[in-house]
Amino acid sequence: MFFAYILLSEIMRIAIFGLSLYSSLPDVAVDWAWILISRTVVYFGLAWLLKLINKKYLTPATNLISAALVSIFSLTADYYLYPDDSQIFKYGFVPTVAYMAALTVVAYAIYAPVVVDLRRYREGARALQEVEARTKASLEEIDFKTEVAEQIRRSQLEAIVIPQIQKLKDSLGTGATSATTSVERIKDLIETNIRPLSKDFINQRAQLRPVAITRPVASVLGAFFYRRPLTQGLRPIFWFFILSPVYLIGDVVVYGLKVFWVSMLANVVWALCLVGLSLIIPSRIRTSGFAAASFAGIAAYVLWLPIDRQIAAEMGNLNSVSVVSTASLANTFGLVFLMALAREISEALSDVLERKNTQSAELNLKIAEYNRKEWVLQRNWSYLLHGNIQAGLSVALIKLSQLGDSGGAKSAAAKRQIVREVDEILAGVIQTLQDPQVLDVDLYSSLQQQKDLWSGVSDIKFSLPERVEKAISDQSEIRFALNEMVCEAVVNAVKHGGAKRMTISFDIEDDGAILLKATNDGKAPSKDTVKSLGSRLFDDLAQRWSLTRHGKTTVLLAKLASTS
Amino acid sequence: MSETHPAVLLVEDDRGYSTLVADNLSNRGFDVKQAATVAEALSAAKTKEYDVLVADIYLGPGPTGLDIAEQMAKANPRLGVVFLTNVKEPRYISGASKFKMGNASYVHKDRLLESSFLSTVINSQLSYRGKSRFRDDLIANSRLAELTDIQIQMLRLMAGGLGNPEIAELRDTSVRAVETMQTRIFEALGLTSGNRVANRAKAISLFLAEAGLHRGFSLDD
Repeated sequence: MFFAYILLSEIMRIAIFGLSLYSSLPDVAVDWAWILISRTVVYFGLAWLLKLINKKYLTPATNLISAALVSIFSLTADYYLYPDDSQIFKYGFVPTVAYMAALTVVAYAIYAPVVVDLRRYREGARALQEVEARTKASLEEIDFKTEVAEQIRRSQLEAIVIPQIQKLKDSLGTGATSATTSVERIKDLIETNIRPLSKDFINQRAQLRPVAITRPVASVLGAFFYRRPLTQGLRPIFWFFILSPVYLIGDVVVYGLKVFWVSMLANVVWALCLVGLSLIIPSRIRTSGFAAASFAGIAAYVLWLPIDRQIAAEMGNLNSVSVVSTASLANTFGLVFLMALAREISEALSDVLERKNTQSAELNLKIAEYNRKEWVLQRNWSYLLHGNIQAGLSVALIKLSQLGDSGGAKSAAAKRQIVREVDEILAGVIQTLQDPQVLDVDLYSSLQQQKDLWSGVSDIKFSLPERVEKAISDQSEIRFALNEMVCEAVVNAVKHGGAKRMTISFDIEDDGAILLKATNDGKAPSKDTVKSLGSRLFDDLAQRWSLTRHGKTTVLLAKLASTS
Repeated sequence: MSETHPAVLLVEDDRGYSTLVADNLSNRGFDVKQAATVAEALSAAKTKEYDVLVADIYLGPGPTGLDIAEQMAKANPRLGVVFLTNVKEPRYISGASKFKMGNASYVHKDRLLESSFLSTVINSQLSYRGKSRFRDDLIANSRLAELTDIQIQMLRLMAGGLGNPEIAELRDTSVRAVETMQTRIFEALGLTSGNRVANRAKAISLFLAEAGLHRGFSLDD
């Protein structure tokens, strides 16, 4: 990709090389060949070498050195190749050095922004890859968790619920028709569509996909049509002020004062074209830096044509008109094309990266919410399984066993009553299995419960501001998650840390997220505490969390993204 | 303790099951107070001294029956404790629990199919203060029963979602040592497929099913 850019800029010069050969101008062809080689190999080769040595790539200093070396190399090559015809050295040391300095500035002006843009592009591409890798890893982690949740569901149902169902079935005698039907329905439910993670939740996973963005690498040609205000793109006036004096001095030094006015006029017209055309060209075209610059280049070329004809006459070969004309055109087109392309690709990449980062941040937030929701649903499923479901089945089983206890002493009406009760219980189990609601946690009561439970062991103070209670009043999942985190924090502090005093407080951040802060005077958290399974709980439930030690106080901070 | 009506605090979050057990015990002469939450249990314990605590372990989000027992036993060392639960072994859910089983009884809920069983267990708590005869958790009715405490701990960490490098760091040992221990666990569980990943998934599933836990559970569940 690196050299592809260079190649793009040099395509027209390569065309000149071929045209020179075709026009029987081998000297010109060789000259252009040297220009091509020196510029690409020396400039970028040296830059690459400096990178290996300094581990820094194309700094302004290395650019300047490289540009100077390109000029020296080009002139030296010119001198040794054409000792008799070289027009430069016959003017003496000072003009030669001045011209070399001018060429250096030109080379630097041409290449420095390009390589800076290229560097930005490479850095951007790397950042893009990192964002994509992170996103991919997060989604893979979610898929893994979802798969594990499904495995757990199966194993728990098979180990806990299904044996109970089987026992129930065995206990049901003839006449308990409705209860038998309920048992069959539970069995069917379990085998077909019971999920700890609801279908809606699984569908949410499908939305957790990064938005596809066309890579700038694939849209190099697309940059042709990439529109951007001219002032932010090419900045033609800047190039005019650098290039025009150099061209003017060069023309005068080489061809004498007789070309001064023509060259000056050509340069002024070029500048006017660059600025003026941008005003009169339709905005659809003008907004493309490349298009505007090319139009300007064509206009300038028309003015330069007399100079080219004069040069051709001096060389005694009219074929050279086409070569030199093409060279002029190439100087404009090639340079402008390269600059415009590199700049616009680089800026396109910046835009893409910005969008990607924004989307990545949004996706990370969604992933954090998804993780929390998944954890809460699994935890809730566990509570329901060991609470309502299993207890319901146990009660049904015990009641059915009473049918046999009495050894037929119970009246038929009493037996029907038991079967009816069992049927109601099983209906409740079915309801729970079909629609497992997240348990409603009263956070304030739960905090009070913690305080009571550990009173005498640890003095727990808590603060639950009204605005926080109000914010989470319709978010059972957040209340559930906060309660789980508080329980974990208290257990860690009191049981493992031996804390005598503990404070728990809540707040709302500017972005609506809920902040949990728990401090205690217990032992500093050990490596085991920080990396224990409890840390997994915080990883899954909190958007961000930290456990730090300040003096003799341990501080836990956890931030939960609010879905309201 | 009342000679005729021993006071029993029954902590069970499922109302239906709680009523069934309370009726059963009341019919057999016990003075039963029902509590569905930790708060209700603690509140009840403040107003009256109970002879026996009958508690489920899972009580929904928050503290467990083990926590209540620990706190009540501190205030009343003569308290008899009966855990009435579906969890096969307490070490599955609380590998690092500070609560010592002591003379507590541990009864699986299914045992209530014998209507007089629970009253027998409670009476043994009232009359005998040595190690309880009723310890369902010690009966080898689980595929995990033969595993050592360390192996159970290893399974807990695996089921908690930790990778081998994380487990090695946590246990201050090498990844290789962790893998060796896991191989022994797989052998003990009869998992001999030769595929470590498959064995690992099966072992975790088995553990979670037996313990009734879910992935990502807390160390102190």
